[in-house]
Amino acid sequence: MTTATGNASVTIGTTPVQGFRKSSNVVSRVVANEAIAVPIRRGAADLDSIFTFNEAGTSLWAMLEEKRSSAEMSEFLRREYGLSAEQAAADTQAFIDNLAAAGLIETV
Amino acid sequence: MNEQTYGSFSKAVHDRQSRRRTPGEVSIEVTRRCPLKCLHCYNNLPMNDRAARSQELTFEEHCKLLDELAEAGCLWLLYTGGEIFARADFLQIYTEAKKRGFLITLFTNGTLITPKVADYLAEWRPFAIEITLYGATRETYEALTKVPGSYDRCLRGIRLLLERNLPLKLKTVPTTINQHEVYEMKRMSEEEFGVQFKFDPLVNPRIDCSQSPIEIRLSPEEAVTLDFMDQQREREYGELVAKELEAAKNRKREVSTVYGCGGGLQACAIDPVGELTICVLSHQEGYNIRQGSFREGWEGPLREIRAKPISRNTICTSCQIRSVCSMCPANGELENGDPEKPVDFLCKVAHLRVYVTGNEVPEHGDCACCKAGEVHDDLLASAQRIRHTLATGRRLPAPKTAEKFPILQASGGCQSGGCASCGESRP
Repeated sequence: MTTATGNASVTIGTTPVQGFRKSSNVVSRVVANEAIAVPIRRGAADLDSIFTFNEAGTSLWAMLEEKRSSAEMSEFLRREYGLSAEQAAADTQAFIDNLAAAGLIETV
Repeated sequence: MNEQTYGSFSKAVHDRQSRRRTPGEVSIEVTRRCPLKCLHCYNNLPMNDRAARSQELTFEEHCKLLDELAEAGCLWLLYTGGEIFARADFLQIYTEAKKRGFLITLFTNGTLITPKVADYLAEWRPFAIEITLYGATRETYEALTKVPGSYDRCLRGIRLLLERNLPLKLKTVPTTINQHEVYEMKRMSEEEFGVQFKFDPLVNPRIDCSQSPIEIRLSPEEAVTLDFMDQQREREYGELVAKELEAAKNRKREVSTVYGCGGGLQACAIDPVGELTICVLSHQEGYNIRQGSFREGWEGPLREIRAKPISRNTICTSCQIRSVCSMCPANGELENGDPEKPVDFLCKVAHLRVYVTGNEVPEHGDCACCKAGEVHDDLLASAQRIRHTLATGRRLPAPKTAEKFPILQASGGCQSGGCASCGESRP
């Protein structure tokens, strides 16, 4: 059975689950109590920029230390922030789209 | 998720970090060895100085230091020298720093930058690179560096970086040897290379106590003439002086600690052998990280050094024009062997900057440069000559890049560009 969640899909069963994780060309730091993502190498995001996150984004970004599906991230938002399933899925998709456009994550 | 430019991000973090003592900006001298033999340099050693090389922190020690700095909250790293590329393993050290997410500035003379080095920096892009130009012509450049061929190698390095669109800025140290080419260097930088340019005419004695750089230091009149020839610089000094004198009407300046800069509060420096100090110029007191750890040094000795109270009042402690003066304890230490002893040269330069704007300096003790002081009339005569030069001589328009790269710092400190410790922290 496959559950589609925006561009990413989670396949339950024998097919490998597609997901996302932080690009190896980006380093996470916490500076002055704020989580930041610093692109360090060509091929990642704009090397003249720094990326910061709000509280929920910081949590999702931390999850991406390892491979995560959009369904897992959406479920986290639903559980931690009391969002509806639809709202959580939409927010997750927007977050993933932003990260992908900035070159901060890899699809795995 | 927010994408921010380095500039806006830096300001926000600086604002937050300034409320607490955190080593946000750290300057690391990786070596004092250098292929150039610049007459004005405060710390260079020969490339083949084996004793110096053998004492430098190893690659492994640098990696350990980087881990400790990240843990301590450092974000901005400055790698400086000597010449950073004099170390064969510098790019390895640099890569380790990049992998830990530091925002890195590189100070270099550019002469050891090859296509391979430039390609590597394009791959692992630094936050900023600053190259010091020593002259606009080969003759002048090499009269200061004392190394034939160094001018061409420097220009090659600049072009290699620019071809790769790396974030380059240029600067110079005006001396009696190259002062006549400062504004040609500025024109080259801005018009031919399309990069920002700055200069600082304040040459220090060497950290090994040699006074040799002083022989080619500009006189106060030459230094201030150079300052005010630039219309933007003149305007900024005018604004600073007006602000200081207005503020002086309603304040009694009190100084309680020897150090008034950001060194030891938001910044510090580590020399090639691991000595942790307030800044790259200050070496009388420190802590060697090889004895323990960066954190031990930062939390212990450096905290004490930064909090050290003044031992006496001087003409500096009640001075009302400190924002146009480059005096700091490191300069006192290098020039007089005493961090609290005013530096005569800097005092003259600061007063002259005020006199050129047509103002007097509020009384602040037994100052030779102030009214009734023994050099006051000489400085007024200098100010008059400078104004005459400005009225009749060559003037320079404000650069197009001024907004991005202010020529003046809005505070005192050595302004040497040598490290990150100079920000004023006193109210």
